[in-house]
Amino acid sequence: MSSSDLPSPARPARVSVVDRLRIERYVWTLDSLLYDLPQHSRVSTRREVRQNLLTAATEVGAGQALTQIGSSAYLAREQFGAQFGDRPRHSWVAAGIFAATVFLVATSLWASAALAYGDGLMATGRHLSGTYTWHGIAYLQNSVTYTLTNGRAPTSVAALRRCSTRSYPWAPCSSAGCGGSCHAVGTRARWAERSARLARHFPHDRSNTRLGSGAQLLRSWGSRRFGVRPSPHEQTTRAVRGVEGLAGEFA
Amino acid sequence: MSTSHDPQLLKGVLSLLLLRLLDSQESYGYEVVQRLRALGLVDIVEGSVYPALARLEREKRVTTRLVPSSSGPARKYYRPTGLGRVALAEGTAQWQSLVSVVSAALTS
Repeated sequence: MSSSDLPSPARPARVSVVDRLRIERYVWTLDSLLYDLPQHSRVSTRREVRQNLLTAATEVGAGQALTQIGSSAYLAREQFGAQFGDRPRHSWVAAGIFAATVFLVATSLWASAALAYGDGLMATGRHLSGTYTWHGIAYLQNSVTYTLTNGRAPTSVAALRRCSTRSYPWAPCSSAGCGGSCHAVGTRARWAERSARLARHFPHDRSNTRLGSGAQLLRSWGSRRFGVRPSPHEQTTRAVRGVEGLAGEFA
Repeated sequence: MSTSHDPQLLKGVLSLLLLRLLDSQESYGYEVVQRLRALGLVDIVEGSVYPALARLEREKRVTTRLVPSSSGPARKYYRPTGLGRVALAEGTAQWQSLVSVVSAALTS
C-alpha cells in the first residue's frame, strides 16, 4: 500500500499555542520517564506520541486527547514492558544517582576525617616538627601525611590540598565497593519496582463476609475510596460481557 | 456495544485485535485507537495501545514506515509481517477455542 492509498485525514483544525505547550509538556514528561530506553526508541516514541496527540487534539481537543492517552507514568511503564519484556531490567538513572550520592558523601566524610587529623596536629603544639601519617579509615581511605616544620603548621586549606594532591583519598577497596554497590543498585532497582508492582496483584482483601459488619463497612469504604477490586460476582459479569463482546469481533 | 470491559481481559487479546485491524488496513497509532473505539471498545486507553504496537514491532510481527503528514510530524504506519499474519491465524484459532470452552462453562 502506497501513501497515496492511505485514507487522507480531514483538514485538521488548528491547535492553539497553549494546547501545543500542553502536549509538549506531556511528551517531555514522558521522555524524562523513558530515560533508560535506548536513544532511538525514546526519540521514536516521543515523535509518535506527539503526532498522535496532535491528531487527537485536532479532533477532540487537547484536553480530551490528554485525558484519553492516560497518565505519562502508566504509558512509560507500558513502554518499558514493550521494550524489555517482563524481565527485570537495569536502571542507569538509579545507578547514576546512587554513584553521585555515595561519591559526594564518602568524599566529604573522608576529607573531614583527614582535616580533623590535621586540626588535631595543629592543636597539639605551636612548635611541632616532623612528618605525621594517618593511615585513614581501614580499607576505605588512603593514608594522609602532614609535614610540619618549626611550628609552621599548615592551615586547614593547605592540609586539604596536600591530602588531595599526594594521594587519592579513596582506597582501592572502597572504590571497588562503591562500583559494586552502584551496579547492584542499578540492576536491582527494577527488581524493587517489579516487586512493588507484583504486590499490587496480591489479594488486598482476604476478609471473610462472616467477619461482621465492621469489615464489610471497611471493605466498601476501601472500594469507594480507592476503587479496588469489584466483587467476585461483578468480576464474573464483566468477564462474561468481555468474552461475548470480543468474540463478536472475531466472529 | 458500549459496555465497559475488564482491562486485564482486554489486555490479553489486544495484540490479536491489533493484528487483525492492521491486517485489514494499514494504520497509524491514533487511527488504530479510533478503529478500536468504533468496534465498541470505547473505554480503551491509548496508553495501552501504543505500547502494544511497540511490543508487536519489537517481536517483528508488524513493520512500520513513516508517511509525511500535513498536520505535523510524519505518521508511523503499521502493517503486519508474515510472522504477524501467522501469529494472527494461530491466535484467532486459540481464541475461538477458548471462547467456546469458556462460553460452554459459563452458560451450563
